[in-house]
Amino acid sequence: MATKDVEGLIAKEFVVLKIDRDRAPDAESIAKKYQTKEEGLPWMAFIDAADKVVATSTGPEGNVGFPAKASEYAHFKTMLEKARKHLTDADIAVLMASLEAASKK
Amino acid sequence: MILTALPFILAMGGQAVPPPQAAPPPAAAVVQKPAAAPRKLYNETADAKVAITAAVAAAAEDGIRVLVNWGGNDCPRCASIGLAQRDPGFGVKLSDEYKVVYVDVGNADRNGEVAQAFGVKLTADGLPHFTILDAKGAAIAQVAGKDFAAEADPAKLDGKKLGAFLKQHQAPPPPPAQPQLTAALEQAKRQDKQVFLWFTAPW
Repeated sequence: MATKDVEGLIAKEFVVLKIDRDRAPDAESIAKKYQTKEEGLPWMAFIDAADKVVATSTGPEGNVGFPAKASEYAHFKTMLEKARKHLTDADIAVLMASLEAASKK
Repeated sequence: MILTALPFILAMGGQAVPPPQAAPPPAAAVVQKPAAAPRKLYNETADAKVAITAAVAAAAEDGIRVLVNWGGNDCPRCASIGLAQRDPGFGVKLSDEYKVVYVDVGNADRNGEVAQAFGVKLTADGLPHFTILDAKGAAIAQVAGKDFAAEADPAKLDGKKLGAFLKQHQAPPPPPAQPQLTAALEQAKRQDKQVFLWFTAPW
């Protein structure tokens, strides 16, 4: 799937903010606000406009990071399903297929 | 930095790096595997232009710079880079501050045109040569490794000198993220969206 298509689907639901955990001077305080414990990197969270955490990449087996195996894909899909207001089932299927294809490269 | 991309889908793969933990206890028995052939520091078949272009794109994404290490696999001082980085005086977390590209120039007789495009004049006795590129791919600093040769052994790099050079030319740290987070939340509210917060690191 083309990069722009993925970007479009993500933008349909999210405003993406990337924070350099090691270099941003206030990264630690922001991480503490949203994490219940120290997590490895990368770590993701979906946060609603009222600043509440809707879902995080911390799954039953820990932080899934870059999802790369079945249980991690499943957790990321759960995150999307939990958070979505605009993404359709078909959109999520496309994103998941893209993610699985990318992680197999 | 507010992005419209989902970078992990686009370019990367692999597992999350766990938070620091205590070292595990030694195993009761260790199965000895046959030693693999050592990986060469400089890939002799890589396309240098492609590798540098990719590093510049990745550095721009992460707000850091590129360190191009021009050298050869038969050059003792080139091979000492790992030792130099372990010098207590090195003082730079290289993978946090630079995307590093090792370009094979043999005995200063390969990839000369690519080097020249970055203003590098290679000489066999100067290797490795270091070039620092900014996020647009422009060369902002150069030094021949011979200028950083260790006094005690010129076939090795002086980790302290090299570290000081890298520290001097590393990108400034990113600005505080809180204002960007506030802006992202406001945008999410206006557009009935959510914030996809992604904690990562240049490495």
